[in-house]
Amino acid sequence: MKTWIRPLIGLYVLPFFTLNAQSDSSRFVLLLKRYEFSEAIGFDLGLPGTRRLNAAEMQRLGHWDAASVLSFQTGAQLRSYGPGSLSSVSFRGLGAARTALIWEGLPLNYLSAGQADFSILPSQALQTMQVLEGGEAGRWGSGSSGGLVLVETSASGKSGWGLEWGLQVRSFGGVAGRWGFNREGTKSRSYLYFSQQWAQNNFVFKDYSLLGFPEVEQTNNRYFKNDVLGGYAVKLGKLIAAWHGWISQAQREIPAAMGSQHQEARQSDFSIRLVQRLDWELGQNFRVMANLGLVSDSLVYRQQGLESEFRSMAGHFRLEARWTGLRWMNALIGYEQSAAWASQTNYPEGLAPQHFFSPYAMAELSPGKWKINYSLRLPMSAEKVLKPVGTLYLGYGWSKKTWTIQPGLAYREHYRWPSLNDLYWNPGGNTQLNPETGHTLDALLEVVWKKNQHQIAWTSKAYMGALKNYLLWLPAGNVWQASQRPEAVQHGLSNRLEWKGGLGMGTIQCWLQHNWQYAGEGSGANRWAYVPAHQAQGGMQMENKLGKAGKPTLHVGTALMGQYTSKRYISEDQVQALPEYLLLDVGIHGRLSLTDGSELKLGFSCHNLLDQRYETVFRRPQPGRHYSLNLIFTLQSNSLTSKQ
Amino acid sequence: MKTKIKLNALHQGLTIALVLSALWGCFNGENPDGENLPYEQGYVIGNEGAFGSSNASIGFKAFSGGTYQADVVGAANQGFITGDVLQSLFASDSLLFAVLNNSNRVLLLDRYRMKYKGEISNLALPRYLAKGQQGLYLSEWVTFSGNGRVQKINSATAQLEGSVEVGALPEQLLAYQGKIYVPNSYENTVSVLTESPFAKTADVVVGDYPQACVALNGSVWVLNGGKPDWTGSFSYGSWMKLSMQGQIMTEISLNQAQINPNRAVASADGRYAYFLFGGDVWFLDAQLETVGVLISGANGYGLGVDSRNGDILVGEAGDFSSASDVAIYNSQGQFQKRFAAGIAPSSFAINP
Repeated sequence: MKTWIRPLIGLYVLPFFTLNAQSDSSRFVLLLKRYEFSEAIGFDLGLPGTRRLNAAEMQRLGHWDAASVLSFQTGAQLRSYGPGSLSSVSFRGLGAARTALIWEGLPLNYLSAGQADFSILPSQALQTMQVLEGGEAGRWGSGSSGGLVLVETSASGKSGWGLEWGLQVRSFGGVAGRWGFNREGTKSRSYLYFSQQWAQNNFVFKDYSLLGFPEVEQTNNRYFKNDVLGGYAVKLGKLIAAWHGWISQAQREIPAAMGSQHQEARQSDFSIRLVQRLDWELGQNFRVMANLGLVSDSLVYRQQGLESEFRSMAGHFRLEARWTGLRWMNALIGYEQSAAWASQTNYPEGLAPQHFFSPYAMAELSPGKWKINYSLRLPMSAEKVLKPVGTLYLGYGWSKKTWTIQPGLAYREHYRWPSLNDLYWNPGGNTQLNPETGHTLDALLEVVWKKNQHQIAWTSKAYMGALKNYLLWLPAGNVWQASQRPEAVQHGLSNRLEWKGGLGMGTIQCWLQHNWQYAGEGSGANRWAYVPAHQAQGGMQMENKLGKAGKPTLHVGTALMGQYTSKRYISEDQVQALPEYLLLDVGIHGRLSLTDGSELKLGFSCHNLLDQRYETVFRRPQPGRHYSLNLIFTLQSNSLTSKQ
Repeated sequence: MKTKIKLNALHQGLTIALVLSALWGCFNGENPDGENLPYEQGYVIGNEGAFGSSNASIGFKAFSGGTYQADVVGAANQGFITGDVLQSLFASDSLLFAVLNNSNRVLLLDRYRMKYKGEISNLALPRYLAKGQQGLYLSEWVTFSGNGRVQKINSATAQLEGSVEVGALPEQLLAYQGKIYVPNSYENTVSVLTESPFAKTADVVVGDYPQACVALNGSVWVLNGGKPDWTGSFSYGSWMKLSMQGQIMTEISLNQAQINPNRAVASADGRYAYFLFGGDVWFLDAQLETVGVLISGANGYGLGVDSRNGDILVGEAGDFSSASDVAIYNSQGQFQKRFAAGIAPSSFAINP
């Protein structure tokens, strides 16, 4: 069946459910917040299987950057050149360029470099992170066939003023600081955060390129990162206007691979990201949103007289109109347009700009016990019009006293435009690349048992899919460049078990996730490099409260998190492999909460408790056991007032 | 304090003496124990690996067939990492020199056991070795854009004995009749050095981007690569014959296609040069001063010659991420056999 036929069938199927649902309005469930795009809530993925992490979860155990958070708390696979160095995140065995990163509605990666470096997203700067494995091209566009990560930096503030100061000290000369301010008023809100990270990263590893394999200290591995984030939103009648800005700068040394000599290699990154969002409530059931964004990225790489610069600028516009006239249905039509320009050292004459635009539509229905999500998009560029891509989710929910069971099927189509990086990185580049297209079919099952203070949830996903014109970066002599494989297939199974509960004055949360996955050139053929067959993440967090209501309370807790990655080949010929590894992080923390909302948090963590010697990229050693100490102080306006 | 300095000097002296004696043994050893050497009677394959990945390797394939043995250096040395970008191999007596471009070192290996015997470090992007009358000579890029240099290496002690600055990105140099010819592959010159004294005497202007110098029929020939298309000013490659005074005697243009030739090796009888031209293997007949296709569709990336019988060894171009084949042809270009090797097989040595 041709790929464009399937979403159309879905479109015709929708009215059937709609008509049937109208006959039983008493069972309607009020929908869903995934269309919310006010300055307060931001964008919401809302699809079943979405994992949502808040600031407290991201800062737990002293995870420094978004890459580390994702590798411990979701099914993400991390490839890192070392702490603080380039870290890419991929899902379902597909390359990192298929993980779309979207900040406040603005795509950050596909317009320029193609894949996002998650190490430059300090966890302390983020407020929420939503992860959807398998993505949703119908709503979010290019490059999410592996997964979709939405990050938001807007403060989810308490009313009044708040000041925040945080400090983290880490082994190997690591220091991170964060200063924050937020204000939540009745008609406006604002936030300003400044975070810095510095690390020497001089950990010791066993060097197998020197005779006798001595323990040597990692050199040329320092980095210094600064992020400034700010935003302001104001309500003017039925219009909400919001502005967000994020400037990040990073200076990083790049250590040589074991046995290699990247002498004095270093990289400078500088990015400016701006978003303006206007949200009108034009009628009781009708809202319009315009989201305008600008991203400017600069990457300069220097090594032994070689200097390579890649600069890009992209503009992005999103216009959406939402109708909520029925209690059991939301509908949305939207239009997205983006343009990107770039320059690269080897192309003094400049690179051809890229221009994409696409209309899209979404509907979300909840007739009775059914849950239906549908989205459809027509991707177009200045040169090409692709076939429409769509996403259809069909689920049914049973609930009985303490049980809720929701099975569902999701059919997703994907596409990915080649990025400027794919097209022009190498001298000569590969301008012949075609857009990547494909589809996946997911079967989902969510079972939730809830009683008193306890909730146990089991989520299971099985998926299979195929991609055409799969973009694959391979080394070609002294450079790497993008190539293309006609067919790629993927399939896998993931299970997540989670328990949240209350124990006396305390709380407990445990989770265990396992992914089995295959992604390669064809079924039964070799896997893509760096795709492990098995991954697992698990954790346990406990917190006990000491103190009485209405008085300052002390919370004391412990956390244990682990991740396992099985053997993975380092090249498609499957000759050489990196061994499996198991990482365990353990920590204790204390939290003193005052009645006005002010808090003092102190935590100590041990990372890589088992002192595993491991690599996520061939010949790039990772640090053994190390430690971090965290201190965060939050002062709320009530206490300021009382002092005054 | 003085005692300490004396002890240090004594220690250093003993260390040097030990290293020298070990190397002396290597250079002159003739397998005195009569042991069965694991890596004799076969092809030694240098697999370049991918830049920056430190996955270069040396493999071995017996002349008689049998399984290709991957990473023999790691196998003989408890997992020792060969390094990053194995640019070239050079066999001399009982030693094998592995020039590792992006590891900035030359490994010295027991040629027939692949045991680590030492290394030459303090190098900057080394490329190729050549053996002259006074020692070994090594071309080094030094940087990716500026002038390179040629290092003189004592062939008995493997110590560096001085260097001479040459042009940008010096490549496949030639030591011939007391002179060193160095193609500067990011210029249009060949630097001419004398071995004694070790000094540069001239920069001969040749074609664009010279890649290799080879000695054929008593003359020095230069393979000019020409400028690649991505530079914005493509130029054709060519062969040039130099006189001993450094004058261009003959030029043969390679204007058959808008591609750039590279790599050149002399045939066993010294009459022909084989070179890669768009993946095909071409020949230069130095006697008739003509060029032509020898092996069409060879998909060549590396090139070598079996000095025993004149066979041509072609390392096939792969994706630089997975293993490629080595194909062997006779000197008439007829296919003989093929076997799987490592990532980007590009250099060869013959272990008799």
